[in-house]
Amino acid sequence: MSMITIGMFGAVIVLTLIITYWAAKRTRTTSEFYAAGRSLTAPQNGLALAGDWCSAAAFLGFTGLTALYGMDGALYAVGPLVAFCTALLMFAEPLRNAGKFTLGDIVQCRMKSRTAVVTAAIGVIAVNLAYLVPQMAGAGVLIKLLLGIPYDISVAFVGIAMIVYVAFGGMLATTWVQIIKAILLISAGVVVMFFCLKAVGFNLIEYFNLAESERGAKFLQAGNYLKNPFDQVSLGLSYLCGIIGLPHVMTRFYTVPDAGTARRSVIWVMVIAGSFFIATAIFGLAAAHFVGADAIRAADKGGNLALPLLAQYLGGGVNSLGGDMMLGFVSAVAVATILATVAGLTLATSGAVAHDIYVTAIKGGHVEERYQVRVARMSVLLVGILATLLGIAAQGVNVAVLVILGFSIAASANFPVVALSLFWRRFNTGGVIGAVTVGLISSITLALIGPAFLGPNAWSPLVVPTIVTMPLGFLGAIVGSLIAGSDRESERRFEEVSVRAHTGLGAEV
Amino acid sequence: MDARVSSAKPVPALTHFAPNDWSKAYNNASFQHLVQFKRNRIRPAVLIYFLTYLMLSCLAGFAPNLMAIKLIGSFSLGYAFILFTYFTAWAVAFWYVRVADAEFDPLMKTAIESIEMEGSSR
Repeated sequence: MSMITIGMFGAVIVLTLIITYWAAKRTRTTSEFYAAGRSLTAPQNGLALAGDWCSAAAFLGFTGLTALYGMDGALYAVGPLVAFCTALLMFAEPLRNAGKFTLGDIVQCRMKSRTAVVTAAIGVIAVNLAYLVPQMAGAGVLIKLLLGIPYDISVAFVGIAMIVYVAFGGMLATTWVQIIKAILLISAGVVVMFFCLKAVGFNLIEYFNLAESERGAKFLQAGNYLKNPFDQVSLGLSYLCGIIGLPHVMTRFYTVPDAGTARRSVIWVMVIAGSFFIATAIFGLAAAHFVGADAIRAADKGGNLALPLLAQYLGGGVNSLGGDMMLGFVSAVAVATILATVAGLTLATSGAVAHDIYVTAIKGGHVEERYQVRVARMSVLLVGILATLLGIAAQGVNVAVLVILGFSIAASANFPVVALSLFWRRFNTGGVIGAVTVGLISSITLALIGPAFLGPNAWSPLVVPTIVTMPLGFLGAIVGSLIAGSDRESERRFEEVSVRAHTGLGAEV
Repeated sequence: MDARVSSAKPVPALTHFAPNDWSKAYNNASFQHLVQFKRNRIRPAVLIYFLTYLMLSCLAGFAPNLMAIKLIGSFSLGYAFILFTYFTAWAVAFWYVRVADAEFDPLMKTAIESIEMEGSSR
C-alpha cells in the first residue's frame, strides 16, 4: 500500500462528493430524484450505463476468471454485452415510453392493482439485494487489501458513501458518479492494453501461444470453470433475459428525454462495454503469463486481483514508482467501479420501496411531490443501512452464489412480468403473482441446493438454475393469469400500454 | 467513436398528448401497421443474435474439442467464435438503430398523426 494509492483513492472520493453537492442543489422534484429530470443526452446515458453495467464482477472478475480458468472467462464476458441487444430491440424504448420511474410502473400502468405492484416490487427488491450484498462484500475485501482498512469499516465506508451520493444527489449524482467511473475505466483499459500490446510486440496471438506453452492446451478450452455444459447455456439465458429484470439498468432509460435518445444511448454502452469485455480476455491471459496463477491465487482465491497485479507488473513491478502508480490507478478505478454500481442499485431499490410500495400501492399515488422526495431519501437511508449490515454479515461467505441468484431471479421472476405486461394481452394480476412467486421460490431453492452453495454434495447439478427456473416463471405467469380468469379491464389496458409503448403518446416528459 | 450515432439528428419532440380512447388508438390502421412492421423487422434480428449466442454457449458446453481447433497459433475456433459473437451483437445493434431511425420513426409519426386526427374528429 502506498501514498499514491491513497492519493488516487482520495481524489475519486473528493470528486464524487463535489458532484453530489452540485447535484443535490438540482434535485428537488421526483422526476429529478429518480430520473435526473429526463435531461440526459445519449452519450451521457450511454457512459452512465457502461459505468453501471461494468461492475466489479466484470472489471475484476472476468480478468481473474480468464487468468485462472482460460476460455471460460471470455465466455462469461460475452453474455453481458449480447444482453443489451435484448434491451435495445425489445424493451428500452417501450419502457421509456410507458413507464415513469421504476420497473413497477409498467406493472401499475398495465394492472392498476396494488397487489400486482407490491408483488413486482418484491421481485425487484430481491434481485437488488442479491446483487448489492456481493458488491458490498467485494468492496470490503478490495479496500481491505488495497488500503489495509479492516473489512467492517471498509463496508461501512462504502455504505455511507453510497447513501450520501444517492440520498442527496439522487439520479443526477448517481449518473455522474457512473460517468466518471466509466471514463476512468476506459482510461485504465487503454493504458493497460497499450502496455500489454507493447510487451508482446503488438502481436496479441502471442498471449494465446504463451498460455498454451505455459499452461497446456486444456487451459485454452471451454469447461474449466463451468464443468456442466447445461450451466453454460443457463448462464447465457440468465444474461440475455435477466438484464430486463435488473431495475438498476432498465431505470436508466427513464433519464433521457425520449425513446430515440434511449435507443442511441445503448449503442454507446455496447461499444464501450463490449470493447472492455474483449480486452479482459487479453488482460487475463497477460496476467496468467506475467503475474502467474500462484501469485494471483495468493492475493485472492477468486482471482479478483489479477488486473491490479497485472497493472503493477506492467508499470515496472513491485516497489517501482511506475508499478505503484499503475496499481494505485487501477485500484482507484476498482473502488470507483463499486461505488458507481452500488449507487445505481440503491437508487433502484429505493424506487421500489418509496415509489412502488409507499406512494403507488399504499397511498394510491396521492402523495405531495415534496413529501415523495423526502420518502425516497428516507428509503435510501433504510436500504443503505440494510445493505451495509448484510454486507458486513457476509464476510467470509462465498457471495458469488448471490450474483448468480440475482440474475436467476431477474430472468425468472422480473423478466416474465415485464415482458408479458408489455406483450401479452391475457396477462393479469394473477399472472404477476404467479411469475414472481414461482420464479423467486424456484430460483432460491435451486440455488440453495446447487453446487454453488453445497459444493460436491449438491442435490441439483446446476450452478446457474435459470434454464429450469425461467420456463417455470413463465409457466407461473400463464397459469396464474388463467386461474385469475379473463379480466376485461386489464385487456383494455393492454391496448393502452401497447399504444404508449410503440408511440410514446402520453409519455412522461 | 461512431460518427453516425453522435451526429444523428434527435427525433423532434413529439406532442405528448394522451388520447382519451386508447382502444380506438390501438385499433387505428396506421398504428397496427407500425406494430406489424416493427415485429416483422425485429423478429429475424432477435433470432440472429439469440441463436448465435446460444450456439456459442452450446458448443462451449457440449463440443469443447471442436472449439479447440487452432486457427492462428494457439488462437482457437472457440475464441474466434467468441469474437464473432461480439461483432454480431454490435452489428445487430447498429442495424437496429439505423432501421428504427429510418423506418420505424416515420411510421410512428404517421400513426401518431392518424390517432390525433381520429381523436379530434370525435
